[in-house]
Amino acid sequence: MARKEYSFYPGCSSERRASASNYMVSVESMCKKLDIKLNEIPDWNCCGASIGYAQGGELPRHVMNARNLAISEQVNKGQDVVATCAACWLGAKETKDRLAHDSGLLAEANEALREAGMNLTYKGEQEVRHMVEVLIEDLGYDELKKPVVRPLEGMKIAGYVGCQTNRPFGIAGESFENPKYLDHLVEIVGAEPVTGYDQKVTCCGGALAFSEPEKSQAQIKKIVESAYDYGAEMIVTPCPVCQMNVEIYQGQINKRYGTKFNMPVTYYSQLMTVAYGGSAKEAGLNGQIVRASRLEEIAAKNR
Amino acid sequence: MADVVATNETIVVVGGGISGMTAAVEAAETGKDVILLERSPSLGGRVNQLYRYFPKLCHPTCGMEINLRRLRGNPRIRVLTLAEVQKIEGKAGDYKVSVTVHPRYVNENCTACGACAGPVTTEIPNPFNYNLNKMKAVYLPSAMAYPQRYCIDPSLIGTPEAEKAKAACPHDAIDLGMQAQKLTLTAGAVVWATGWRPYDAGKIQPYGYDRFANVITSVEFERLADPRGPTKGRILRPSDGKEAKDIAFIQCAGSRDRNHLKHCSRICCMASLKQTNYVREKYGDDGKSTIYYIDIRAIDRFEDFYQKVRADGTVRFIKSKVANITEDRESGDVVLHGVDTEGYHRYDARHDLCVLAVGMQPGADIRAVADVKVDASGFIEVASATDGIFGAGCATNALDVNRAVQSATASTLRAIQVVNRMAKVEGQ
Repeated sequence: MARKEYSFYPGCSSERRASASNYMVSVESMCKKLDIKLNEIPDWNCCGASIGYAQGGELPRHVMNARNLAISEQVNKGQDVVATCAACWLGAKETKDRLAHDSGLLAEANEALREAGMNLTYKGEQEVRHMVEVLIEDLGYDELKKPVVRPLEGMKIAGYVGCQTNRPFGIAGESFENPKYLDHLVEIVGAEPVTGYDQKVTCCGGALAFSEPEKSQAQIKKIVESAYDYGAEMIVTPCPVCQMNVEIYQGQINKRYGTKFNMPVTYYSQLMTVAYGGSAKEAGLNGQIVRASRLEEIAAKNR
Repeated sequence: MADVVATNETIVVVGGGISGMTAAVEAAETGKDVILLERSPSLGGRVNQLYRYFPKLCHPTCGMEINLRRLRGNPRIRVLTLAEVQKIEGKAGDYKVSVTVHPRYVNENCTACGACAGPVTTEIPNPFNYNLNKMKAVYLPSAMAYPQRYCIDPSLIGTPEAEKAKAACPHDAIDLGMQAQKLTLTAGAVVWATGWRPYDAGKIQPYGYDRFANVITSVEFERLADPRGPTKGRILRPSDGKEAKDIAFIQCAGSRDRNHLKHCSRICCMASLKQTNYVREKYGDDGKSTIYYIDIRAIDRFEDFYQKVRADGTVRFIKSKVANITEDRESGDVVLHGVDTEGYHRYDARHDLCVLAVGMQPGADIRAVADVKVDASGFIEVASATDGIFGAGCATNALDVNRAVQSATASTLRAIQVVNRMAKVEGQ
């Protein structure tokens, strides 16, 4: 039996061929090394993400998440629900919070599940947690350090936290303006964190990257520029949207501002997979738009 | 110290700041026996750490001196410093107050000549200057310290540094073997005057007190302005020691905010208005003060003071709750971001230094030692005053010095009434 077992759903961005499918690959490799078993919630659905807030309405948004959680309660009894995607985590956690404090909304959500022909009732038995929380709280930094066989020596990495794992819930004990958990994770894998990184909680623009490219690219420019200013050669993030926005718009920003950005943006799980001895493929490094060459070099070394 | 005599007609006053000193003096001057307990090595409290008082802008040393003279001249007052209350048990007229007296390692022979500190090199943060600078680990707490007696920091005990200090003392005043003492005092009534402490500014995360050197608190600014302070009275900013001439004051920093202190701390508006005077005093027309405020609460008869500051051309008022502060990395300047609600203008305002007018919270939690009711902010509820324990000064509310002293006198009267009642019962 695995050391830890969790109920899990990857969310749309980590599905096969989606933008963060390489996140999923690296999470699987990382969990294997850490002896963590993730039990996928069967037939999971969309968390509502940004659309749920914009047009979806409150009840549909919560029903979507309640459905995932209700299936989890039935199938993966006694396990916490873990999301790797920051938006999934935030959405599901908000639903759990709302339904716990609003019995009317809870009744309506359960009625909707019944009407949909599901033999399901959401009870609110399971905790909703982000993968990072699980790593830090259930295993702890010391345990996370043990499997490191290939420290990422000499690399300087900026921990870009973004908003969703940070507000309004945040990781327990972290400051909203200066959360340090990514810095700790960077340290654990043997690289040097950028402790003064002053854009670590700046908004990446989220879905506005599509509708307001100018404004969101101004945000992204600050995020990347500050990482360069502090001498970082890579940005690491816990969120698929942050990763996507900060990575793929660098080309457009270069055109717009005449900059020469070429900064790889990776997930914490990719760093950990490489440091734990995984290959570039196991770390999903083939899914990068801006190649993480240094990380690939380290991954190619013998352990 | 072994001979502390206390009876059920004794009044124990906890806290040796302005409120506690007032309570002790007032009670003793009506003929009551008083034991005044202070947790730190010296009386004086936070008032002693101010540069000037509002509204008259006189120096606190003046008021302190008068109080100290009254106190020293009164044989009915027994002062115990480094004394921490552990438990208060009993009822009106019959309390047992358990106290731990921590070792000072310096006895009554001390003349405050300072010879002991000479050879010592170990330094520790200086709490009198809110840790803005360091001091030797053998020290006099402040120029106005009472008792005027040196202290040895416990971290030195067992090191050669402590031996050096002992060897340097010409008066045989250093006793490195001094131990903590436990006392149980009898008291008829207790006046609880443990004062306040500034709200932890690091918790107001958007303001970056924990990240930006040039974001400081209002109490720290007092120390910068004070000639006895770490910068000898020059307003030098912490990042680079440059003179700060353009200073932002942020009101309600941690007060009137459901994420922090819910209450209005009442003194902070006047404190910032007062501090604009320091800027004017140092720089004349070259200084610039900007006050960011929700509304100015110059309570009571202080309106006049506010109007005078309003009329000062170097002081600007911006009606806005500052959203956040960033730091200009090159210059170390602070940049305040927000919206001016008068006209709804967004601003990104650059200043040399930002002073957070931090709120007041109770200095100690009385519930740890006695069964006394406190309000939602932790201040002692006056109405709840159980038979013989009375809150005084800032332990009961956010008060300025004037009101704290009034509160202390009022509480002392109640304590005297309890003790008088006891005396009558015994006389029958």
